[in-house]
Amino acid sequence: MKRRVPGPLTPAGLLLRAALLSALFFAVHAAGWREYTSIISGTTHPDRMATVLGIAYAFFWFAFVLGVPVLVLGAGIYALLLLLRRPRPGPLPARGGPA
Amino acid sequence: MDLAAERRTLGGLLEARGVSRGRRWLLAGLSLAIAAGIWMPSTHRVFRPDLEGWLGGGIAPRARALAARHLELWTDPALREREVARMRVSNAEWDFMGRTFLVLALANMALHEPSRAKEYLAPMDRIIDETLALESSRGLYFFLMDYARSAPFVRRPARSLFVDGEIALMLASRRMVEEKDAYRALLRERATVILESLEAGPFLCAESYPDECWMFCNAAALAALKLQDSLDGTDHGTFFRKWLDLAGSRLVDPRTGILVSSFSLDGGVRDGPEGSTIWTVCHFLSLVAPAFAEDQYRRARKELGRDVLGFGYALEWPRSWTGPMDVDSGPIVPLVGASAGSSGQALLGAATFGDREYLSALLTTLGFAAMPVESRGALRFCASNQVGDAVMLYALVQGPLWRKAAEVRRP
Repeated sequence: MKRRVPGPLTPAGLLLRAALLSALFFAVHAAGWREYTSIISGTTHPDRMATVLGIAYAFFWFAFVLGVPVLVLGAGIYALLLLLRRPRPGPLPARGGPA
Repeated sequence: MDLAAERRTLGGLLEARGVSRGRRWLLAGLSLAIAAGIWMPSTHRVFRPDLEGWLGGGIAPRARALAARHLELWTDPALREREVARMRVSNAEWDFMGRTFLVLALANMALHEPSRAKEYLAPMDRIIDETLALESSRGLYFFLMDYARSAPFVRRPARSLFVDGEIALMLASRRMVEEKDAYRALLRERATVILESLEAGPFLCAESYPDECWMFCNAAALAALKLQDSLDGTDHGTFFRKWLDLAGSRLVDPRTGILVSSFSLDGGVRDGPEGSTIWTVCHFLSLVAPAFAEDQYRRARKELGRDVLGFGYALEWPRSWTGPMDVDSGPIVPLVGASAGSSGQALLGAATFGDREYLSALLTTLGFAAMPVESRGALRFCASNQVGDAVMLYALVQGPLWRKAAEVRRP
């Protein structure tokens, strides 16, 4: 049986995206791209590729420290809102409905 | 399992089963907005520094770690060559200013810890001697940006106050820690040249680049002359008063009251109040005219200093002045207007005037955005460079040198 990827507009989807961003950040961190972030201060690197790596690292860093906590917290709040939501009687839709 | 029960299982909640697409958009958006509302104002708590670790009495642990990195650079030629090459690609001035700020920092560290002064004096001498040798062998333009060659200096023979002022500052700082006979005459000669250049200008200011005077360089030169007064018993008091009268009335931006950053020899303003200049100008002037300098700092803090959600930063230009993003400002963050160059130097201003609240906010931003890396007891900021790190180090240890200069007057 195929395992479905949670849709982006579900708590699971938000958590999955937080995990993906975290994984990408840890990957670029482990690759040592932090070294190339001097572009933030306007110090260009003789190697142009280093500038690209530095910008990519900065993007994933800020996504990690700002985006990931918001996604994780958001997933928790979303689940809480669902829990608090008063259910309406009706038939249970089939699994794998629209995301 | 009925619908209500199914929705309340973990799987049901995580996958938002039984929720229409429109409602999912609404709930996801609302949840993320609430989450951002909680996290964004809290983020600074993760990066807020322990101020004692950065500024605790004497040389704080963070400052010591930052200094270790600089000393490593001056003992490992390959490492240093790589760092200097990286800076010179962007700006040859940074190579020179990195030396000045490091010498100033080491002088303060030596005065903080007299028992370890020799450890700090050795690299200071190495830096000064190498800088003098480079100036002598490569000439005036070696530490200037290329556009310095685009026109002749107005005053002949050509001299740059940028170079003369900071070399004098280095020589004097070293001598303030411990007298060195070889540097006495060098300082006297340099101070004579500086004073002649300043007095020749209609605004008692001299060129750093052809027909381009920088407040930064003029303030550094005044600080050097003040140190000379303390060391050699000279008295530039009358000159300082005249300079302040002129600068305070003719070289300030009328809308903010802040000293402008660059102007022609005849006083034509080129760049108005500029963050990457004024913070350090305030620091240098605090030695020469403390009340005037503090007033300038307060104005700069109001016009350029920002603290948003616990993160401190500084603008390059006040709202009333439109200026470009350039090599001095560094990249400017869109919308908020944060300038790397101005924010780094704001640390020095805040430290000089004991503005701990702003300093704490600036250090928070440093931890958040400057990409610190610590290895084997040495701290550096990957997003910065040697001159940026040297300014930070100087900001963290400054104090004793200026205090000694204000107190001691040798015959």
